[in-house]
Amino acid sequence: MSSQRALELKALADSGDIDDAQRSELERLLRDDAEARAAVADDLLVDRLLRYRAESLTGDAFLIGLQARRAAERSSTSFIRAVRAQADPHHARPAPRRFRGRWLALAASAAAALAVAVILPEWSRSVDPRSGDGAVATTPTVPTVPMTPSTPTILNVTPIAELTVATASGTTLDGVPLRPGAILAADMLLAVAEGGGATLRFADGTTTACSESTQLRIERIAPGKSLRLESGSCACAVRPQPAGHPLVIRTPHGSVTAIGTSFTVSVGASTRVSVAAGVVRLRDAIGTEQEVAAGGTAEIGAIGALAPPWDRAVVLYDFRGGTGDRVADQSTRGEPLDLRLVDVGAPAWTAAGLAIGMHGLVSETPARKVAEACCASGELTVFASLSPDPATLASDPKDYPKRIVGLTGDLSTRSFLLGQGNFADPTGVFDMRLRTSANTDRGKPSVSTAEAHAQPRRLSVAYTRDGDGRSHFYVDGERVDVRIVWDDSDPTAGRSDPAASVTTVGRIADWDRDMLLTVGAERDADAHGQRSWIGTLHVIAVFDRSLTPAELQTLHRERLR
Amino acid sequence: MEGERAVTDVDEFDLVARAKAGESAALDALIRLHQGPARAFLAARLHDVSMADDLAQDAFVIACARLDSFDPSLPFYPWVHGIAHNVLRHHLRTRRAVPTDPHDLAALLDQTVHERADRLGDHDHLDLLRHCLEGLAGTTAETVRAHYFEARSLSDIAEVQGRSAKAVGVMLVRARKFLHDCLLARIQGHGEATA
Repeated sequence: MSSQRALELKALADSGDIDDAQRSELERLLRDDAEARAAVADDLLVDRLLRYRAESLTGDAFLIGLQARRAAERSSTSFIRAVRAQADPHHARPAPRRFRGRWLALAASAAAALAVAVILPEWSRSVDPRSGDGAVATTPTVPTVPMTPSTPTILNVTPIAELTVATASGTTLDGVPLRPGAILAADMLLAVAEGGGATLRFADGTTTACSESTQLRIERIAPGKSLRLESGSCACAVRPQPAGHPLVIRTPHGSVTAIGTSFTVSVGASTRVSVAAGVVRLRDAIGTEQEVAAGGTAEIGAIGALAPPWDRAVVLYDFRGGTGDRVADQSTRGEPLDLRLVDVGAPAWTAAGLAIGMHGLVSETPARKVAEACCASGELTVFASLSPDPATLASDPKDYPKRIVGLTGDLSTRSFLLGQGNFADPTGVFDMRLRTSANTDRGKPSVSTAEAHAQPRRLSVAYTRDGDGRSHFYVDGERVDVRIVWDDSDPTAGRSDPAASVTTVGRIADWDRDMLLTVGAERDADAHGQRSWIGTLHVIAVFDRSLTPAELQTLHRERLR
Repeated sequence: MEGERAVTDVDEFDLVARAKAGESAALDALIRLHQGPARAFLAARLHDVSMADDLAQDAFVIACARLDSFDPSLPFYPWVHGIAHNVLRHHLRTRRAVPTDPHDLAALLDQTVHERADRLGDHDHLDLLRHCLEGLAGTTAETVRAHYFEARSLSDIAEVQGRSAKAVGVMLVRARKFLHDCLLARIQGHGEATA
């Protein structure tokens, strides 16, 4: 009974609706009744676990922070200790390590305040939980010592350092050597020399680990954290931030906004962001925004615009403004895999691209680098910017899919083939036949768009498959519904229902290294004129990983330029 | 953290051997494997979330630095748990270096929280809690989510739900009681399953 009464009174205290008599009763129960005290302790225990579950670092962020600390401690130990012993006024204190700011804050508090510091934060939080702007509770709700709203507590009088240096080596602050434990303020410029490193820690536990050759200006600490990364690289493990006050890292090329996540920002000729956990929002100099989720990367280019990931393409062909009978592979990976036109009379080059009809292009050498890269990663993205000709849409429905780009051996063996049309819809859908350890040599069953997206206009289409086999199609940068086509001899029975994503079973493995990359038609001369895709090619690229929706949007935007 | 203990002892011994040989991926895997219960141990005993994370990282930094001294024939987690326990003890001793009132009610209650946490034993309470949260339903589940995971105050929740803050407080106390009982039940079940 006493435990039930104690919990009732605690509920009143939590809601701020407890009067003096009830407060005294609760205090008496907690002091004199072990059963009541145990019940309230169990309640507090679950409260702690819930708050920890809601607010603590994610598993990945925890590991990233741990790795940064281990690296920093390895690189700084003896030198820092020697410097601290000579110059740090706090060196005699008992090993506060990275808690220096917090420890100093506690030491500065009055003993009476410390007496209630253990329990007050969690109870006063129940009255005014995480107000979001750093405000603190001033209405005591704990029946500990007599208090009034003006009673000093650890919460409302302690000058907690908002930003401190956890580790530092080879680092200066506004030109002065930086020591661990230093308290930082806005407008300071942190400079990490070659071979150095520094880890900053905000009061909420957010950390920023900066590597060598980094220049970081602290623009604002609270409310809202704002850092300007001029050069170098910083890995951030960001705790959940108050609503309206995210952490923002600005660079010469744009900004990165994090609510609660782990990511690395590197500034060189462009700004590169790699996200380990959570989601960050990038904004470039002209205001274009994109979100990057865990596992994703993005880049803000030197001209300000979010840069598409062209440099990660295994092969890249830009048909715009071309001439002659060859198309150069513009990718930066491996030996160039150039294409040559076959069965061509006069190539129809225009500023917009290459118009092809009853002919196609084939790589001059085996597409070994494509096969090896995709087999190694188990992932694939095929991107094409093109303008289907109405003739494609009206051509013989038995000749499908029309060949857009593929890695093929002959008419019936291939590693992949992006085409237009299948039995279910001979003209309007896009279709991917992919050879996996479970699919046939023809790449069946195929994955196709659920709707007919091929129209006689300029558009972009992309197929992605990640390491777990999840397959998606994107048209004009937007994800579209897909379906599996098991049996293309039966237009109705052999298809799955439309879905946002389907799984292509099996692994990408054992692709033939001697296959050629073909565009617009099969490589076999006898096949020319059959299954040829008709239209204008603008850009084609193949990647050995599954690009993110944001990256595909940048590719789509890029092809409009 | 969730579900990361589902590897066999053979896997762990292999990971320890590889980590001791300097393979960083094996060390990372060991940390992933054991961070859940270690962090839960500290989270239950500290009201400061970031401090719990800090101390958990401290424990693993020490474990990594002293890995050479670890006997690979022994289970890894008890060793890490011992380090975490020492880190916590050191932290509490340091914090209480400033004299406090021995009769302070807050200290008494905090001591009781520690004792009650000890009673729950050495498990990944955070993972167990995840399952228990799935047992909440309706308004109670919404209230817990709003208060803990959306940082809404009791008065805000009360306004949205059209009830008093006191009623919301009572609802949360009952929800925590349910979760505590669920944790105990799952821990007892876990003990039977592994006995």
